[in-house]
Amino acid sequence: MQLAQKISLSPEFSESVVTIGATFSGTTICLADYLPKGQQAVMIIIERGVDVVFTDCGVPPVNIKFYCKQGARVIYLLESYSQESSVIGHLEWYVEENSAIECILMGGIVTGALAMTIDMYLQGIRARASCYVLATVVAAAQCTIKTRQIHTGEHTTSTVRAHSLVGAANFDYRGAIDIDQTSIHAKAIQANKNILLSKLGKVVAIPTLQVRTNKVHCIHGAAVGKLEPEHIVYLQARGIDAFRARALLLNGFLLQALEGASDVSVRFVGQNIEKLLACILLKDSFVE
Amino acid sequence: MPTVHKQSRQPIFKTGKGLNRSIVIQISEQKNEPGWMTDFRLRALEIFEQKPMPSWGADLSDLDPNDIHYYLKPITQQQTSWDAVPQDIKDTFDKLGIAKAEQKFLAGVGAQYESEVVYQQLKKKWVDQGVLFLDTGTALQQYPVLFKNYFATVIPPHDNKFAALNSAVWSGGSFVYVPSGVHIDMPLQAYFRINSASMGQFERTLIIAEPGSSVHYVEGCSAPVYRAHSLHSAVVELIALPESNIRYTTIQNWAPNVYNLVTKRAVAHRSATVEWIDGNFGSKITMKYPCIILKEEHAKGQIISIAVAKQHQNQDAGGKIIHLAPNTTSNIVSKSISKQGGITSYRGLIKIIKGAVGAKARVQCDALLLDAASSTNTYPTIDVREKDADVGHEASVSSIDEEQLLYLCSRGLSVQRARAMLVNGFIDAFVKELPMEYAVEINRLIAMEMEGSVG
Repeated sequence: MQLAQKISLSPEFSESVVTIGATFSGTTICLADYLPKGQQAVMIIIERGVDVVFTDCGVPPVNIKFYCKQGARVIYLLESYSQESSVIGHLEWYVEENSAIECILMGGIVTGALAMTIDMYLQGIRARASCYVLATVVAAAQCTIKTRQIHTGEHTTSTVRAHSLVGAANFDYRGAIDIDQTSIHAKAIQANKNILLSKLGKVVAIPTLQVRTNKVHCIHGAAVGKLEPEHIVYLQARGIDAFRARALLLNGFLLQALEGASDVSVRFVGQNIEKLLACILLKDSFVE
Repeated sequence: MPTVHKQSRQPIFKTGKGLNRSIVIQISEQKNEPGWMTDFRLRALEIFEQKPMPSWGADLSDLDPNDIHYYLKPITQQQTSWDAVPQDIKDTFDKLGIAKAEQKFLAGVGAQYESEVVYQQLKKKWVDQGVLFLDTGTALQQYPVLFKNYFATVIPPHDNKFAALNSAVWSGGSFVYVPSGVHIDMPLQAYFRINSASMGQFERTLIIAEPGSSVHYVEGCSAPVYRAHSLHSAVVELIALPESNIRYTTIQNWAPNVYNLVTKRAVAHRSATVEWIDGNFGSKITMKYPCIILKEEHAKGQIISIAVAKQHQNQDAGGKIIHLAPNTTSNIVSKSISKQGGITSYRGLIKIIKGAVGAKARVQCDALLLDAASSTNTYPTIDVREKDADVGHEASVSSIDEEQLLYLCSRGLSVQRARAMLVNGFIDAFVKELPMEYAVEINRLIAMEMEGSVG
């Protein structure tokens, strides 16, 4: 039976509903192949104990809700490149008891705009959610990333790491950690690091925290810096030309975001990072 | 639980409740001010009336501006000897240890009771070197040119609603002028006391440090508890001219019926250093975000703050640093402790404009939650428009580490003492910036605050 035929759509919801049952466990699902054409909003329900990987396969990040039932394991690998266009996406994750979701978002914004909002609702005991954002924002582009880590369940864990390389463009990061009174022993990490490559670039970071119970461990951090000339000189002294030295350093900076990510995610980034870096290395991003 | 205060000294002049042009003119007439200041006050009143109440931050819906006396003159004239201060006022400041501290380790003292400074004294050594330490109203009368050059240049009335309110009804506060090259090696202290119910205190402080000078100014604040709300809305302007150093320390312990809505801002010129050391322990609601504008090259700014919020308290504090010039550096360290349902918030801004090459900024916010009923929030904004800049912000929220507590208890300390010790360690970055005498007091205060918070 075709995989598409197994996906059921429910008319009661304003969005289409896709249920991923045990048959899909251990598979990789390409959203482009299995979502109805022209669909702008969809809810994907991952049944109990199902372990599945989603790839976007070129589908722009529309409004997607993931509902992870008990014990489900989801990895969502997303690449988005915009050139002279706007991409707006909204991801919502509802994570139940003992389930986990992880997302890699690789965004290369050359001259257009990307606006992504990722809301994580950690509802069940020991629910986990992780989001790793790697972005290159080139000339005259605008990238806005908003993340919200909303903990209501006990012993829940969430991680957001967003690293960006910003040329003559604007990068805007807004992150929120919100821990409810019911969410004792919650752990939340939110880290945003940015390298400004052009004097025409601008970074705004607003990482916020709201904590309403005491048995928690929360950290957040944001940093903006430059590509250190000493590091390039160090590599040049070892026979690496300036272009490659710069590429190596930027590559290393982006890969740092993957601390704690799964092997599947790390492999995915490894396969695609050159394309992401090319956006910024090949354009005239380094305005001194 | 603090007891409700009943006694109050009869003032020699008091405006009626509420605010209008007539009250502003009455205040200005009482102070025998020049026409430009009356006009300034009236313009500020218009701005205050036009601006809406802040819709962000703490809930100010219970604050009724029409239920407040905006000016209350306690005595006919300011004194330079404690013996000449009326006994009941003197007793109040004696209980607070002001006179004793003046003798031991202060360069000068100002004591404000309600709307006016009742006592002001600067040691002869500093008078001889040309230092001015006056109440702000006296400075307007005695040094009009110097005063007008700097007054409201850092915080104009249209800055925010409460800066406009202060500009309209300001009274008291300190005016400090440190001549070029003079280093005042002992702190100057001002103490602000609200002693009446439904009272507003609107002092205005202006500190000017000429090139190569340095000064440490310490302010303390307290009030007895009344059922009615009081309002403290100060404006503090600091001007650090090239290579000067200003340190401004606040220990705020207002009663839990006081709204503390303060605007504080400093401008640091070439190679100057400004430090705000800010301790918030009292008040019902505090909204205070000291700001430093690093205007010229190599200027430095530092904000070290602590906020302690208990039952029915909301400490909404933070810091803002704006880098306008190359090679400027800044550091913000914010510590907060919430207990018994108290709310603490850090609200901050680091802004680096284009051209501020080599600017460096660091922010560290740590919050300690002592029970499940309390909460904490962090709202930082980082805005960087210069490629050659280095900015870092980090924040953490945690409770007292059980392992550390167990370690101390296993060495014979009671749970309460162990907790107090851990909390003292948590706020060490703040306490070590205080003069020794204050540091000891703060450590005692924290130990007292820990009473009843075991479990």
